[in-house]
Amino acid sequence: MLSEKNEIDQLFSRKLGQFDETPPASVWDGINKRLIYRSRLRSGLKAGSIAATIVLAALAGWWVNNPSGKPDIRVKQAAVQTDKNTIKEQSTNNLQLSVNDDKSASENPSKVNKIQTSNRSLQAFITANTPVIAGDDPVTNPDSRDQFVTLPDTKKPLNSQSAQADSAKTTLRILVTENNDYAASSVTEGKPTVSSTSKMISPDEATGVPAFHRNLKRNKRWSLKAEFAPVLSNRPQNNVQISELNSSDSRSSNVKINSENSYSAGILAGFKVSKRISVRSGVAYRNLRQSGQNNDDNYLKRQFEYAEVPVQASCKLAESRLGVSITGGFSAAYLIGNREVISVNDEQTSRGKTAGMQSLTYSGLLGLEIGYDITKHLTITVEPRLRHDLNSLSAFNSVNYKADHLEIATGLTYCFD
Amino acid sequence: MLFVTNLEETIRKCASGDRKAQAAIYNHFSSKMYGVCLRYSKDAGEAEDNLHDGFIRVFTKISQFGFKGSFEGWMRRIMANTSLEKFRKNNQLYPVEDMLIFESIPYSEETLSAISAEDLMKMVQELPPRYRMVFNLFAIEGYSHQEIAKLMEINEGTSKSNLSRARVILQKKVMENFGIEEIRVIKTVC
Repeated sequence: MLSEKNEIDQLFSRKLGQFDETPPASVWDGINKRLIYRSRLRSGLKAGSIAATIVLAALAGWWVNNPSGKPDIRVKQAAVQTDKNTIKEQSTNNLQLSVNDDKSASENPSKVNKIQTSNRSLQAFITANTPVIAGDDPVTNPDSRDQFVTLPDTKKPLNSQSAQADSAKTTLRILVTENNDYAASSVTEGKPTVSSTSKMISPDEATGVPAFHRNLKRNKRWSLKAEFAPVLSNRPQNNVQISELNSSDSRSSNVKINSENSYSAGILAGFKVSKRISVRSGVAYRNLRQSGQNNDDNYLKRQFEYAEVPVQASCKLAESRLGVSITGGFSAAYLIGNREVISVNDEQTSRGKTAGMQSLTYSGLLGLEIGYDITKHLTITVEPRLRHDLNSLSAFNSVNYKADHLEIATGLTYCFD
Repeated sequence: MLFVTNLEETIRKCASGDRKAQAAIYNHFSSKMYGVCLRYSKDAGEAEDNLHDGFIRVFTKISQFGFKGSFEGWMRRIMANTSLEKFRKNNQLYPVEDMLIFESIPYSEETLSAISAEDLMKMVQELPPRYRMVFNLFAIEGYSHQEIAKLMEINEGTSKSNLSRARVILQKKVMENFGIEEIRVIKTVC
């Protein structure tokens, strides 16, 4: 006999406490698929983290070893000038300077630009009285515009070797390889002066000019970008029933949740791996907001904060003062903040956290970056981009919210020499 | 089918991501955990969903199990918490209506043995969600009202009230289904 006050409790506890029933096989199939998916995501995160770590470590290493940003110039090769008016390149990727005391050259500096050049080469004839800035013929060699050398107005000899040259013509040859190594040699007409190979000289030593100004964009491999982006997201599919929002009684209100304007901000380190391709990674903060309102003007507000590590690659489509790049990438975001507030009759109450949010979410990015060079080092960028969440923001199976976000990122990029 | 022979070793393998160990743990405990989920859910579909999410959580957090208590008890708590989280997430409707308090009539052993666990499970599942949660936590899991209030983010008074209402509903169902024809109403609560 059950005659105690809580006899119902005892009845149910006794019969249901150890109740068991075999679940359908489909449950394990679902669990198995989810476990495989999580395993792959973990692998992806590891790969992304390693890539980001490598980029950041490389940046730190470069910064420690070469804080001034000045590249070394390595003298690798000697060359002999044999022709008075023509310089023939032996490499297809050379940059060549010629110092010429020839009066004909000084009288007619326009001839300098007509010097025959090979592909991806640069030649400059500099007379003793007239410094000349010269580059590739942009028509025949548009790629060479990056390899541009300017020399200041000076009568100083270009290097220690040419300082000793007193003949009519001295040629300084500087070779720039694909790896941005420099090779320099000087030649005096009739008396070839052969520079030693593998000698390290600084740009100032090479030119004898303190302010040897290099505008080689290809050298600007490292960059640091700070950006801010307003974010527009699509709305979650699920409505929620919220009892607290109904002020008149304890029944629930059916609340349609909408995404509110959100934002993200971050700092990214970039590395130019080739003329057009660059990669970047860093850290970013993302703030996503949602809100819902019932018929009584009572509302629910949610706020999710993420710390994320994006890994992006960009390909330059057009390069000038106004550059256009297409960007794509991947981002891993960790949930660091989760808040839910309800407001009934203008009285706000915290409801704690939204339950079941994924702690780690992944998203893919695709964007178009437009950059404008404000100064030699500083570029302002605007990048409309689409972000798609690769996994649901909610851990619940019944809530599949893989949001799409439109971000308009505005940033400032500083390129190091 | 894989079965657990050495639970501790299997748990450790699970923690390192061993798929066979995970399958073995599932095969060993899924029936019992499904029973827990059924009690907290309104139907089998919701219970399967909770079982799925609960096991994912078990495999995700299994490395945090400290071998200090019962592994089965630890899993049961995870299943219950998963169901509670879903309840909180959905903030489901529950009816508020006048409740009748019935005179308590003792049952005979014959009557009790005639009541199957499946019948009782159906009665529990038919309870309004919040009553079901409170009744399960208090009557079957043994939580106090203070603990329930914390778990469900409600007042202790609300927990007591919900339990009382759940008991009344279940009592009425038992009486209706197992041959007690006349039920005397002794008072009405709102």
